[in-house]
Amino acid sequence: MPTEQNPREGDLLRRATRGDEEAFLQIYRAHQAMIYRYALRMTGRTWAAEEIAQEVFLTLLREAGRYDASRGALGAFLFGITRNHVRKYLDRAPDELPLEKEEQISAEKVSVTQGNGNGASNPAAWAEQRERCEHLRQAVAELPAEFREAVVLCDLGETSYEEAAHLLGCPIGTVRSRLHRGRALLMARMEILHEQRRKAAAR
Amino acid sequence: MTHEERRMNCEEMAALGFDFDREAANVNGAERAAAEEHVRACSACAAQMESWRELRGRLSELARETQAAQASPRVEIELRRKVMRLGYEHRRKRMRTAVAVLGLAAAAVAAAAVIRSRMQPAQPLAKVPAVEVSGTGNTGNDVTKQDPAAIAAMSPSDDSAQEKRDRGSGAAAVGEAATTQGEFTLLPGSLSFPSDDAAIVHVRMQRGALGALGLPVNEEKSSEWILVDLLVSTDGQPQAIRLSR
Repeated sequence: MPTEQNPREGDLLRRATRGDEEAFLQIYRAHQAMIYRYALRMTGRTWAAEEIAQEVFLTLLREAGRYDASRGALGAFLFGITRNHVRKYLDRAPDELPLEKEEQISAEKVSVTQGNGNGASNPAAWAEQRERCEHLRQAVAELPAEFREAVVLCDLGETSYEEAAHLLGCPIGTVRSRLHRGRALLMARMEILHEQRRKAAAR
Repeated sequence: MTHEERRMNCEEMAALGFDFDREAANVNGAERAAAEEHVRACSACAAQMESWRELRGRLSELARETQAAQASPRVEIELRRKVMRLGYEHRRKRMRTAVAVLGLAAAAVAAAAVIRSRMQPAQPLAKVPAVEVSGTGNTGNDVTKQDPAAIAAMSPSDDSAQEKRDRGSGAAAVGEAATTQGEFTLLPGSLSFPSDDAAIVHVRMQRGALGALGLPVNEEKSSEWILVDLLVSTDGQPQAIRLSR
């Protein structure tokens, strides 16, 4: 999740705020995927993720003076902004009336590897896998925000517990605890645990 | 560390997490060994471990589904437009600042010049050659070589000028005097001849322009070109006039 600290990032950011398009694009292209994916996994909605990604960069341009390169990488700073915007979105989301019942991630957003690279060898298996994914996505979206953050970072992303603790600003033990509770809730919603116990009893 | 010390209970197992075998979980070797032993011994935790493995598989599928997701080009286009606008505003701000700085610099130079001119001792008129003022030759009496005070003192006592003033014909008399070669005549509204630092300015003008100085003009000769000397005081106002040629 966090990107490597780049000593040039502070300089690029200064240039971007003065209207240097090239400098801005370097920053945008280096970080937009991380921001967009986190927002998408947290909200489960592509339009919300796009809106959040755009807002994050606008905030960066507006409040570039708050970034101090000596205190950390730009990626971590951007993650903080993203997290705030996601929280704001989640706070107001229940009041919003969605136009569609539940927006699914559009086909073009889905990895091209899914058709054959995920082990789904035939259309029926692929459809079953899609259904499972959709079910899980809904279960993740229903998790309380703090558990969801931990699951999104450590289980859906490739963030280590240590990095997650740094990004979330909490001890590593808290990350473990949130993950444990988040996973337990997911297993309950997916009825995985119940199924496993039934299997164990049958044996 | 003994075997007893490494034994783990269900609560500790839950606190450690069932993904203790992952590198990202930051679990050390001893904890991992204890956890593995506990899972082998505890059927409830073994079931949870199996459940976790299944969930992990499904989470990996979901992660793969979104791992290549990126914001649409629309977002980039929108942001680029915003950056371009920022650049335009930045350039405009810089331009405004530059203009303001130049304005301040010009004002400072002007103020310095005024202060300097006020601090300098008054230059005697004789040191200002008439030719420098206008670039035209002084064909009349060389009053520039005289003391302006002397001019002022002399001119009113000059017979012809005095005589004309005594006639009491007001502006007409002054206009007449102005056309008289060699003598300075006060312009209407001037109280006395300027002293010390007055300057003589040679001017080629049409006779009709004398009207602007408050002198009467013969309309028939208004288009005729004449050369006059103007005695100009330090406030830049002409105080007296004489026909130069």
